[in-house]
Amino acid sequence: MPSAEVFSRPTVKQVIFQMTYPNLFFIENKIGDFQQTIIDRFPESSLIYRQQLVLADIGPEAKLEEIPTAGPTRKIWQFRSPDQVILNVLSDSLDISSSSHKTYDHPDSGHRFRDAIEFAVGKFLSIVKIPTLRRVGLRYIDECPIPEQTSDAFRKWYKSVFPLDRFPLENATEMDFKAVVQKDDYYLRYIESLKIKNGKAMLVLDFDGYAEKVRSEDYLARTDNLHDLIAAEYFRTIREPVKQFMRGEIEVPSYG
Amino acid sequence: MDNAKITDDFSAGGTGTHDPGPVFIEYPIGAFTATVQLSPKGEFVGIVEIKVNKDFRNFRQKIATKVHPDVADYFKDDESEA
Repeated sequence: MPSAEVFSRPTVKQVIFQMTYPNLFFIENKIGDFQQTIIDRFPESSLIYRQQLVLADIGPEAKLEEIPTAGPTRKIWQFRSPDQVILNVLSDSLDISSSSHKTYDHPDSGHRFRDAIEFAVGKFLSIVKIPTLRRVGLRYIDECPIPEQTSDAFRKWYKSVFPLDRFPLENATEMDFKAVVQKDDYYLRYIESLKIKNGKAMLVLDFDGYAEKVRSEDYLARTDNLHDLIAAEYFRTIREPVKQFMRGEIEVPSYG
Repeated sequence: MDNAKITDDFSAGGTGTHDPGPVFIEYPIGAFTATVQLSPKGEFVGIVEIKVNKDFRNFRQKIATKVHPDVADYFKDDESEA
């Protein structure tokens, strides 16, 4: 059940859209054309070479030469908008991340994350013809305030899955819960995590929804469904005080 | 996004401490920015990313988006001389 209002102080810190597709070796030749179509909204561009490094405790029996120290180098074409929306294009994926959007598709807002997706992906698919996407994903990372690090106060703000009767919040410095569930054609990875940042507790909610084998003309409708799934789960997790906090009606000094 | 890593590994050795994950530091080197990965103890692990600002368009595409000045504006008669 998506919210009917745009909160002035949402708990969402980052929202990410990603789609993956088969490796397209010709994509480098299309990047100039793609940049030309998006340059008004994404005027900054960079080329990035990235590789994963491996840190491994190999033990006394293993041979060092058997352990790869670095993964393959990936080439990333990155575009950035003035409001810090970042668009990354790789040979097998495209992702858009934002820390500035407060709403996905609320009609009263002029700054909607859905519009950024529709613009960038629409331009991309008009230049790079892909009939079927391997995966379409939408992820929200929320940093939620904990006004007082007690189980009772926490329960008033959140419908948490933490086992607080056994491990009271007062005594906890870390707590994590992760579940991956399937709902019809969609998957949702839900992570609830207690973090202590600068001595202050906060609840990190990480919703990572995705669908597989998506026809490219359906990408936006499927993303809408993922958003509805994530929003419903979010509002299942928070209680009224969190909404009041997001409206600016309650202050939490330790937050931010 | 890569810096905000949530570690899934519960098999780290030792007791009393848990792997806080790698640390990434950005170093500008001329026109490039190198991202260096450090171990949780602050030891150098390697360079994970090299970034350089770049325009991917070819000359023809760049010209197509430029606004050309009207050169006639530079040759207007000065009214004071008339």
